[in-house]
Formats: sequence, structure tokens, C-alpha cells
Amino acid sequence: MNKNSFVIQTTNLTKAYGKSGQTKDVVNKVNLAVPQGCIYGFLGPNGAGKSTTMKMLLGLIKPTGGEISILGTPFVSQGKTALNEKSRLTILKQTGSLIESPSYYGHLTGRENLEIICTLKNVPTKEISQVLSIVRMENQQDKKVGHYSLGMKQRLGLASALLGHPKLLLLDEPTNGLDPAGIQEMRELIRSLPENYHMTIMVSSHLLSEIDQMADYVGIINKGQLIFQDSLLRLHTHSKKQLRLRTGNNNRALCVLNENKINCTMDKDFLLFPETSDDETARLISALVQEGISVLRIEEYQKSLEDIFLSLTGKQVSL
Amino acid sequence: MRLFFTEIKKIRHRYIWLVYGAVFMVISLWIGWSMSRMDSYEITGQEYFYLLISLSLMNSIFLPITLACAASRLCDIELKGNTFKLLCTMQPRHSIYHIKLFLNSLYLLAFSLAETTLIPLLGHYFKVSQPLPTLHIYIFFFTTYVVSLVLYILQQSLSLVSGNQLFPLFLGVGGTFIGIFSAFFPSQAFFFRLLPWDYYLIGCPINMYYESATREVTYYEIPFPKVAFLGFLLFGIFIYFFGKNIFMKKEV
Repeated sequence: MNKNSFVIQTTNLTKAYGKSGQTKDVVNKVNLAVPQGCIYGFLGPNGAGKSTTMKMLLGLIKPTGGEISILGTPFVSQGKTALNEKSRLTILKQTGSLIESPSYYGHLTGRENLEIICTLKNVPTKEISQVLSIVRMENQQDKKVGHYSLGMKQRLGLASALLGHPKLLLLDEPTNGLDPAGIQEMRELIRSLPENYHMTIMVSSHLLSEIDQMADYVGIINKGQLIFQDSLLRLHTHSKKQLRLRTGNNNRALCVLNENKINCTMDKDFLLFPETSDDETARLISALVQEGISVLRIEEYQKSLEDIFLSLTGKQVSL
Repeated sequence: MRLFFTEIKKIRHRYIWLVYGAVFMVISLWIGWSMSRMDSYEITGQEYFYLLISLSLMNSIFLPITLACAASRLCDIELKGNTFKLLCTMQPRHSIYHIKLFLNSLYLLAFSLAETTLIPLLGHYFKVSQPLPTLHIYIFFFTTYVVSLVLYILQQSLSLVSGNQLFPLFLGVGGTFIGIFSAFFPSQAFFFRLLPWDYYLIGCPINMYYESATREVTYYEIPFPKVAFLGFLLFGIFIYFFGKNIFMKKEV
């Protein structure tokens, strides 16, 4: 992929906390590459470094080292801001963000909140109606935000982020605290944005299923390190098929198969075979039957995305 | 200007003007009431001195907590709504600090002007015989405005960096107590020169002497303590840079 087609690119992005000699890398040499026009799912357990990374991308936290390029413009170089404040804000004007919890003024109405963002972003206030319609909040716009539910606050946060038609949207766990219907609604909304408004979206989550249903590209971060980054399709191909076999006497079957030089391993009540051809399957079944070992069950087994995630991060999916 | 008008929009329904307005009303009514009850022989020929020292004393009692409330109300809207992480992507971080400071400095200017104007107004109303001490009134205005501004910088810095507004408010209450107790001690006492809340009285061009035997109060002029006030201004500048620096470094 052409280097310029990456909307976000980081090189060895690092953030360490603590005094010298006792530093802890919260983000460790992360090389992100977010292609244009995609939904990039940034996946990782709680405390993996997702929010810190996203805050560094927005210039809210100073990186300890590494480089950041946003929309083709160097943002951070050698761990230091490459732009003056004015240029940084010019770049960020083309981005929208919703980091962790939504930002709002509880004593003002939804519309008044958006008016403030419009003034700060120098965006005409006529856009307010448009973004309210996108997040389906036209009817709640005159209600004080302090009286909104969390889901409504999240949608208002998304509306704020959408003001000014940003090219890049950074959403940090946007479905946090939402009920199942709200999660689905937010997911559909996010999915519609690249196509309808030509935006690139980077969305973080600790829920694999959420990213699986939303993203085109995936980056998996664990303990501050980016352990996987590619298309979702590629992540799915990691799930190699295996053959699982259960016999009347697994221990004896293992010996017989080893004698016949058939590669297999024992996993609990099953014998596991790497992806085998039909001929090989027939040969191993025949070998077992000839030795009088009863074959109770044979099935094709494919690793789920959860299993892949578990093997990559070493953590349970319900992170 | 854009940022200033945004700040005005943000504080809609927060009634910060009401905080200052209410305190001004209380002080005005109190001082007016005390003037009306004062026996004429007690302060004849010294009415303006009485007003100047009484207003300075009331400022030292009321303003520390008022400033803490105003700073808290201005900063709490950002803390409650987690807005710093959004604002910092749209405006320079230092501007968040400066706009709030600028806006409140306007409130303080209005308050100080109103209080200063109160002196000749009350003098006119009660038909006082003492000639208007113009220079002392200018000094009173300068002291009220500058001391309040420095104390506000202290309160705003604390309110912006504290997650909880209780500590800055407690500090304001503490300042008020210091204001009350300092009135019982000589304003020249070195210890009180170390306390910023006491500068309303230190900067007052009038002092008083109470003769317990005759139960008479004598008001007299004192020179403006330039060195002490210069030290206070340096303290204010230090608090400004220190507070702003901590806010700039605060992770959002």
C-alpha cells in the first residue's frame, strides 16, 4: 500500500511513565498504519494502551519517543511535537474525536453544546441540524445534557465529533455503557460513516465481537505492543482448520498413529490433527479400525476469532 | 474574541455575576446599615476613613470565599463534563486558562469599580463632612482589584488542577477565617504579611486605634506598604506561572 494512503501512521510510538530507571512503557514502539477510508478497529484488553495511543494521536499526551503522521503531515517527530500549536490545531480541525467518556456541558442543552463546538471549530451553526439528524437526536436537542442518558451523551459526543465534516474520526470505546440496542445503533451509525461521508474511522474496543462486526482493518495491542495489524479478513485466515477425533481409547490411538507416522497431538478428550487431506483422513481412520480402536466422533474444527485473540494476547475474550 | 464569546456561552446559566452581585449587595447593605447606626460624634470628620477601613475588612472576610466560588463555578463545568480532552483538540491549552482568567478579571473590575463608587455615594447619602480622600480611594480600588486578582489566580489554578473542588473551596473558607482573625492583630505584624488573604487590610491606606479606656476609635492614615505589596505582586506572578505550568502539564 502506498505510504501516502495511510491517514494515520506511527513509527516506534512510545509512551513511558515513571522516573528514569523505573520507567514503564505503556505504549511500546507501536507502528500503526491506518489506511484511508476504512474502519480501523483498535483492539486490546483494558490497560493495553489503546486510550494512551489515541490521546497521543490527538496531541493530548506527549509521546516519549517515535513519530506520528496524521493525514500525511508529520505531527510528532523523535518524540517531540513537529508542529507549532497553530499547525497542530489546523490538522486536528480535520479530525473528530470521542475519547473515553463523552465531553459535554451538563448545564447546557444539546444544541447549545454543539454551538460551542461550532464556534471553536469555526464551523457554521447550520451543520448542527445535520449532525443531530445523523445521530438521530433532533428531538432531544433542547434538553439539558445533564438530563441525558449515557447513550444520548455518547450520541451527542459523536455529533460533536462529526461537526466540520472531519476526514478522520477517532472513537475510543464509543459503545461503553450502552445497552444492547444502543450498541447496535452506534455500530450501524459508525459503519455508515465511511461510505456516506468519506471518513476514515479509528475505533477502539476491548470487545472482539464488536470490532469483528464493524472494522475492515484490525490492530491488536497488548501490554503496549502492537501484536497484530492487518485486514480483518487476514485475521480470519489465521484460524486454520483442524481435525478432531475422539476414540474409545485415545492413548492407544495416539501410539498407533505415531507408529504409522501420522502427526497428531492430544487435547483433553480429543486427538488433534493439523489440516489433513481426504486421503490422509481415510488412512488414519483405517489404521485405527485395523487395530480395533473404535472411532466415536470425528469433526472439522476451526479456531474462532476469540481463540486467535486468546492465543495472541494470552487473555480471555471477556476482557 | 472567538474564544472569549465561547466562554460567555459556556457560563450561561451559571450565574457567576450573581455571586459577585450578591456579595456586593450584602457589603453595601451592611456598610449602609452600620453608617446609619453610627453615632455622629464617633466618626465625624473621619467618615470616609471609616468607610475605607470597613470595606477593606469586609473584603478580607467575604472575597476569599467569593473568589473560590467563582473559580470553582468557572472551572467545574470543564471538570464535570470531561471537556479538556475535547477543548485541547480545538484551542491552545493555555487559552483555556487565560480566557477564564480574563473573563473573571472583568467581573473583578466591575466589582472593584462598584465598591469604589459606593464610597462617594454613601458619603453623599449620609452628607459626610470629611473632604473626599481621592488618593486613598484610588489606593482602595487598586488594592481591591489587585489582591482579588492574585487570590483568583491562586483559586483558579487550584480549581483547574484539582479533580475535586472541595480543596479549593476549603482554601477559600480558610482565607475568609484568616481575613476575620487578622483584623484582631496589627496589620504590620510580619506573620500576616506572609498570608495573601490579609493584603486587603495591608493595602488599606487607613488604620485605626481603639482606646479601651475612653472606648474611642481613632482613624489615621498610613503610608502604602510598597515593599510588602511588591512582594505580594511577585507572589502573584509566581502563582500565575506555577499554576499555568501545572495546568499545561496536566494530562487530560
